[in-house]
Parts: sequence; structure tokens; C-alpha cells
Amino acid sequence: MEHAEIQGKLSAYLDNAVSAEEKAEIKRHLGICGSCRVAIADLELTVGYIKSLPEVEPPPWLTSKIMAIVRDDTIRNPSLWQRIFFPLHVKLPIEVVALVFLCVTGYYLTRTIVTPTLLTTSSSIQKRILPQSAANKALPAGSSAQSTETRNKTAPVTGTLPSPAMPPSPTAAQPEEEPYPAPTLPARTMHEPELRPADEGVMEPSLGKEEKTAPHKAMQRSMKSPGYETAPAAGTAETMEAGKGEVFLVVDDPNAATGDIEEAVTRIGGGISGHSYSGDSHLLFVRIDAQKVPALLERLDRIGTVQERPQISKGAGGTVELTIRW
Amino acid sequence: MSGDRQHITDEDFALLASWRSGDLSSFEALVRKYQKRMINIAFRITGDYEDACEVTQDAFVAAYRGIDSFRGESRFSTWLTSVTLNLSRNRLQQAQSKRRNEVYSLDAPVNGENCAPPIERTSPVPSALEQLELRAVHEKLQECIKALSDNFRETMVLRDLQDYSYDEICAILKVREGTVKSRLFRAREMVKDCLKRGMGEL
Repeated sequence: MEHAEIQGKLSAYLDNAVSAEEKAEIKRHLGICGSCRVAIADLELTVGYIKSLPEVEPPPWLTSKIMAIVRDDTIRNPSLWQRIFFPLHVKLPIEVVALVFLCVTGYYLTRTIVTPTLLTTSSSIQKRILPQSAANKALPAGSSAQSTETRNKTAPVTGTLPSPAMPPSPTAAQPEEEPYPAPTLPARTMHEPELRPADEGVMEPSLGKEEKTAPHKAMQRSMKSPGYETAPAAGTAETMEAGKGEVFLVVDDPNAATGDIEEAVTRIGGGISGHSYSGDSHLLFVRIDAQKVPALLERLDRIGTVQERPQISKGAGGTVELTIRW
Repeated sequence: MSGDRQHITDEDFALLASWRSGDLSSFEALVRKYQKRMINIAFRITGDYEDACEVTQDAFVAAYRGIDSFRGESRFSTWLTSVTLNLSRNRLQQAQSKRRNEVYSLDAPVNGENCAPPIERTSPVPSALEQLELRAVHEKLQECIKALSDNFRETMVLRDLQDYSYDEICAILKVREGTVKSRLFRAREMVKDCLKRGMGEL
């Protein structure tokens, strides 16, 4: 190697970063070259000075600051699992939201299932009752078409009530005790002014005031006559197994009470099979568990005054068909 | 030194595995282990202690966020040094361009509020005169190093101040060994000449 080349390798020679051959050659050259000896001495001194430069110490807060940033970073960039179950920066897990959602959905589903029964129109009830019109063929010929329709509506109530299940209510017993037509009936007299005009052309001329305002009662009474003996047979197919009863409710505003009464029935777990309005009174046909009848009557008592109560024997099971009239 | 580094690397891999599995204390252990080396590299490159603090902090945070890109093909310390060098280089460029654009204020503090001045570690207790001479040499030396171009300065810092091997320097700077030797020779010659000019003689 020449002098210039050796001078260029003095730095690596100092770091022992040359091959053994190069090292021997540089060593031999340094023995004969004074300027190279000075150069390597200066280089060694310079590197010594550089190595003697003081080291700085990291500030004591550096580690904690780095860790704080890193921890904050971890919170800001949560894992996929955390992102799914903790989408918000609030302590409200999605499970709680899901539970609330399920409860609300379940509640509305239950309401939706019950509602179709509530929304049954009177026309559909009429269709359902229509086959029973055959039972009314035995009615006196003097009754008008409108009165026939009225009777048809009432037929399921009165015509299908088997005598053993008939509630021994005071009103039911009255027709036999009182002369026909019965002039007074406390409950009915309350409604008399508003019911009479609509009913006048409907009922049979021979029927008294009570029968005009309570057509199904009149039917009940007329069933005792030979001419009506065929009427119960028409409705029995549908309600063979069910007990029957009638509730007469006095309310201040019959139209406004409709919703409350229907709600009371559905709340108690009963089903509404029909609703009719004859112009002077509302009739609601209800199917309800026999054991829930007292609870229903309690609720109806809150809506108005129950004047006529069905007599359900204690411990009676099965479904009862009730006719609520107001 | 090299053997010591190998032993440290083995520990690093264990800490890395633990850190990757979610143990933050392992990352903290690595921070405590390398923060001094990284802040010294950053300080010698940027020439400013406050900048060195921020660069070191940023380097560890960047390492934490980018650990997935570290495949273990090199030592963790090599990878971390590479990150620190890049950030230091960027910081120096920003500082230089900022210095060019802003009016120099005599009232401006030398160090930031959070950054304490560098604590000098002086070897064998010299006399007062020697201390003064040594301080003068160090100040001059720092100026000379600062005057070097980036490539020369980085190579010198890694080799003469941090004792990295030629192989490690090649890995960090991604250059050949011949380039490292050449840069180192020229950097040392330039500093030697710089010191001679400033002090008269070595």
C-alpha cells in the first residue's frame, strides 16, 4: 500500500477494523513514516476527546410521560372486542341496551297480539252471529227487519245460556215475579231517556219498557215460551263447554267507557269475541277464565257501577262467556 | 461490548414477547433500559437537550405504535436507534429552518420548563484548570461535531460516542461497511482539523 492509502486506513486501523495483512503492513509503514505516526497520534487524541464528551441523563419524568402517552393510546385504540362491546365512551355495555330493547319489543309484541281482538268491528261480529238467525225464525212476525237484526245480535247471549249456568241475579229473577211488562228496573231507568228513542221502533210492540232497553233480557224471557225453545240450540255448538254470565254496568258516559271496559278485559287476560252497539246500549262479548271473573268485576266497579253480577261458583274452572252490557 | 449487547438482546426478545402479549410493564422496562442511550444520540445529533427529550419520547411512542412492523430481523436496540436517528434528523432540519425564519430573542430560555439542563458525567476528577480546559475542549468539540454533515455526524455519534460496531452501524444507516469506514475517517479528520483550528494544537 502507498502512503496515501495507508493514511486513509488509519481510522479503521485505530478501531481494529482492518484485516491482519493490512494491520501488519500499516504497522510496518508507521515504523518508517513519521508523518503517519503524527497523523495517527492526532487521530487517537481526537477520538479520545470525542469519547470523553459527557453523557446527558434523561429527565426523571421521561419514562412516566412516555407510559402515560402509551396508556392513553391504548384506551383510544381499543381492541376489536372492546370496540364491539364498548362502542361509546360511557360505562353502558351493549348488553344492557340489548336487554332493554328485548323488554320493550316483547311488551309491544304482546300488545300487538292482543290488539286485533280489540279492533274487531261490529260487522265481523254480525257475521259471526249470523248463523244463529235461524233461531229467531220463531219470533213473532210483527217484528221489523231492524228488530230481527237486534235480536240476532243478542241471540248468542240469551239464546245460548243454558238454564243451569244462568246467574241467579235479581234482574234475571224479576220477569217471573213481576207482571209483564215490568215498569221499573233501577239500573235501566238511569239510561231510559237516552236509550228509548233509538229502541222504539226496534222492539216488539208487546214488549214493555224494560224489554225495549234490554233486548237480550227480553229474549231470555221469551225463551221460556214454547215458541222460543229452539233458539238455544243454534248457539250451543260454539259454547258447549263454556259457562255463561251477564254483567250490567252503569256508567256516566257509555261511549267513553268502551275503551276502559275493553282494556279492563284484556288486562285481566280475557278475550273479546265481539262488540255490538244497538243504539241504546253497548254489548261486549267476552271469554274469560272463570277464576278471573271477580277480578274483572273489581275493575269494572272502578269504571262504573256494576248492577248485575254473574254468579260463578267458587272453584269453577274453564272459560266463561260473559256479556257485559252498559 | 458486543457480547454484552448479545446478552441484552436475548432479554429484549423476552420483553418484546411479553409486551406484544399486552404486558405494558415489559415496554416500560425497555424504556428504562434504552432511554439514556437514545437521549444521548438525539442530543448529539440535534445539539439541544429539550429537542432530545422530545425526540426520545416520540421515538418510544413511535416504537410502541409500530411494533408490528418490527419483525425481529435486527436487534430491538438497532431498530429503536434507527427510529431515534430519523426523528433526530427531522427535528434538526425543523430547528434549522425555524431558526432561519424567526428573530433571535435574547430573553428566550435556553431550556424548556420540563427539561433540566444536561447533567455532565466527568471521568476521573481533574483539577480546576484541567476542568476548565476540558470544558473548553468539549464546547469546541460540540461545535465541530455540529458543523459536520448529517451522514458524518451520525456515523461518528454511533461509533465514537455509543460504541456501536461497524455491523450495527451498517444496519442502522443501511450503508456498506466501506462507506461507514470512509465516513468515519473523514469525520474524524474534519473534527481533528476543527479542533486544531480552535485550540492551536491538540
